[in-house]
Amino acid sequence: MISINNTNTSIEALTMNYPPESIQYKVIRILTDSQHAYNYSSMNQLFFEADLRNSIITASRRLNSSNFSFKIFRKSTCNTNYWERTGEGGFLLKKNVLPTVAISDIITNSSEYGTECATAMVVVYYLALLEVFTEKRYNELFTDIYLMDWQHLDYKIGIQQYRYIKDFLPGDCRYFKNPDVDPLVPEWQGENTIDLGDGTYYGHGLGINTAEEIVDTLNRYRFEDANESAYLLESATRPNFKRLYSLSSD
Amino acid sequence: MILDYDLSGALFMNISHLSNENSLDNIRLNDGSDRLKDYFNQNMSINGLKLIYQLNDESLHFATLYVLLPELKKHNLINKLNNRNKDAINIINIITNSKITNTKKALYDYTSQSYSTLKWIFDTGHQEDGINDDYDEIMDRVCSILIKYYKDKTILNTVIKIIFNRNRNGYYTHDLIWALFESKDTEVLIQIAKYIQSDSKEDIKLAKKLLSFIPNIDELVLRNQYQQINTWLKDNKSFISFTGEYFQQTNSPIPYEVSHESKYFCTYYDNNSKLHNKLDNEKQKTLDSFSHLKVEYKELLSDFSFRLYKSDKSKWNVWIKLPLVQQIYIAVKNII
Repeated sequence: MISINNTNTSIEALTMNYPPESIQYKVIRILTDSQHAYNYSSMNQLFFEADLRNSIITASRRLNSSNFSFKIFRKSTCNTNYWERTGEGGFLLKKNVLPTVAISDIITNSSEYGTECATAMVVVYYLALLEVFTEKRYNELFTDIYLMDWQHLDYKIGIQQYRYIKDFLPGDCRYFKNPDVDPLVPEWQGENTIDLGDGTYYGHGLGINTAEEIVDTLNRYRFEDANESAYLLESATRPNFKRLYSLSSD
Repeated sequence: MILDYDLSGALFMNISHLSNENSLDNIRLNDGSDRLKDYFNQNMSINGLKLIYQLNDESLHFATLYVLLPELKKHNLINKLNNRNKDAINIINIITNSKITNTKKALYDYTSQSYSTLKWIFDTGHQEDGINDDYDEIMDRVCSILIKYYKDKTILNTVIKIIFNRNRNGYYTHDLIWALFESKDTEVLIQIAKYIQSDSKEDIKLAKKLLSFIPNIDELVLRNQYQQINTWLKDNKSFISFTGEYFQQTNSPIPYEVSHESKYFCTYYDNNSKLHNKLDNEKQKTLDSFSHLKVEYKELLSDFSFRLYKSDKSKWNVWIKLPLVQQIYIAVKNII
């Protein structure tokens, strides 16, 4: 159930701007049908979340279609015109480079970039935010980008893992865990993915697959006498949509 | 000089009684890797047999074999090496050849013999951590296998030192941290906590991050309350459960958490066996009710139970049999 400023609002009013097959419509539908009460201060706050979730999915599909490759941190690569590769394999935005230019370059010159799935998720968020922030605002807000792992994602994005939740939404980041991974290939200990809202997930290095296909792939990287299958965690990682909405206006 | 053949049929010379260190190791350590390669290439045609003896000697350090591997391939000498060295080269090839990972077959034959090779790689190779990225990757994977597959806990303290050393220098630590926590050994947390007292800000920052599941850790570190952190860990380590969360998965992983159920019954937490099976019928019923309590009540009862158990076991035996409502009342009032 969705309430706007503590007032219940009909799905018709909330979805009138979105076609039924759109991601935004699906997001609002799930929230409306939920037993849980989701409160937004305004319709625009809700629409921002729905639009950003759509952008997250679009960014995932663009990254999947690009030549952005899977490489372990030790062998990660980037375009050094814009990024400095650090000793731990992350990419630090160079001084005097516009964040919007450097982030866009990951798609433009994708073949120069290669890294692990956690970094790919971070890239997805920065790419998605390009679609919902003005260039000026983006460059004001994200001046110190470090593409590495979840810990280094800009705190303003407010990324957080939500455990034991009831509703999973298109654009959520979901984690497939592989507890019996062969210790020779720890990069297969799990896969960060984006829920694309159509029963498939984008995982960097794996492409777009169903949950069963991802589990099958991860299971191939277990040690020989392993007995526990890979599985999808009942949690989701999400940016703080409301905070980002408040930051989106100049 | 003692000449012998090992199980692989390779010539083997035990020269460890002549010197504590292998002369190839000495050249590498004193003059560097390039000088070692030059020495090896210059002497291969003159005294190749002796070089093979030295490589097969038990005192050899793994880093020397690693540095000389291209030369061994160039001179076609791999088949003259002993089983330990051949196995070590096999491990290097598997780790550094990414194509091999795309397979449905087992990547490596985990046997007791391979354990001794892996252990040799770690014991003689960890001090050279930092030679290059490939070498560090081999160390990471060897640690992972020893800890996760062979359950070797003897290397954990050294692994912690490597992690903090790398972190201070800005090098990659994720896989080693993953391997360390896969040990599911709460003793490592006490070792990590010691770095709270370090002079290095980087050490303190990492220790705090790895121990972020301890209540009020930020404030305790800020006030330099190492003893409180240590006491908390010692009090709770028997009840800490391993969650399997890592930095790859989330920005704020909780790799360990206190099992309120275990603490409430003052029973060791065991990742491999359910608490339920350790309790009699009466306590099993209590556990079912306890499991449905809100987290704050679980915390209240488990903390109170543990304190009471430590101070007066006979009173604890009475209290634990009371209805939960009464237990909560006593715990809130702290009146027992």
